[in-house]
Amino acid sequence: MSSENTISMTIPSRIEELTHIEELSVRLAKQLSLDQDKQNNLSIAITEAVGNAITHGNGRDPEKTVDILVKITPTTLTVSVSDQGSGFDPSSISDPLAPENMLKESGRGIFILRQLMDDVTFKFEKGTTLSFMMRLDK
Amino acid sequence: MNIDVKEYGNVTVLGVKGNLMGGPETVSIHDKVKELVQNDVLKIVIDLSKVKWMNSSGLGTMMGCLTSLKNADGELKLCGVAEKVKSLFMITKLITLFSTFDTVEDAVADFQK
Repeated sequence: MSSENTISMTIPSRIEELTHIEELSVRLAKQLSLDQDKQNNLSIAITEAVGNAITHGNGRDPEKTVDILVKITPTTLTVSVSDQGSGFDPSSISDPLAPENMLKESGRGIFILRQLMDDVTFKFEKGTTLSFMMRLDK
Repeated sequence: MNIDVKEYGNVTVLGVKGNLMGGPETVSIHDKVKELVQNDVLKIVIDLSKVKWMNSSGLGTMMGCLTSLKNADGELKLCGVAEKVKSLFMITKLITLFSTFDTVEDAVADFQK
């Protein structure tokens, strides 16, 4: 029997979908018996990643979709979020803590993801896949 | 989003409820603040005691509200910020830009100083 469980879903690029994504994170957290702190971190991370894919990756074009793949092992939860956008250079993300960026309304999503999750990676193929991992054994 | 508007003398308190995760409800808070600013309502408290979660979109909305008020020589205070939400304000250092209070009464009273 495999020790890895996967869940996959595809959603249209509508910001309203974030409500369902938030619900997914709560279901996942219950399934994994996460404590409240980790549940909050997971909900924030999933909505950040999917919100980024909908808004920045797919430009909120409902004809474009976002794929979400959740992999659960006994020690890790990994969520991969793929959009159909043209990609970006992660090194171009400005530091949200820099004084010139502090007053900006956007540009904190990836920073927050990196603070809350144990690993965050990007892959660029047909669009961008952002993956983040949360350790379940600590 | 259902925004509960109450007036305490010359201070307007916006009570928001739910999670500020980037949906249309997140934007509606800034729209409400801009509407109030246009009507010369310049002392505003946003009561976040019924907001459990927030992500970067919610933080961006708070920044937008702060900027709209500052540009009009107004002032924004926050109250009832949950620990989890406060931790986001801290890791992004936005906590240094906002005045935060435990209760609506404390925030309103601070306007009277």
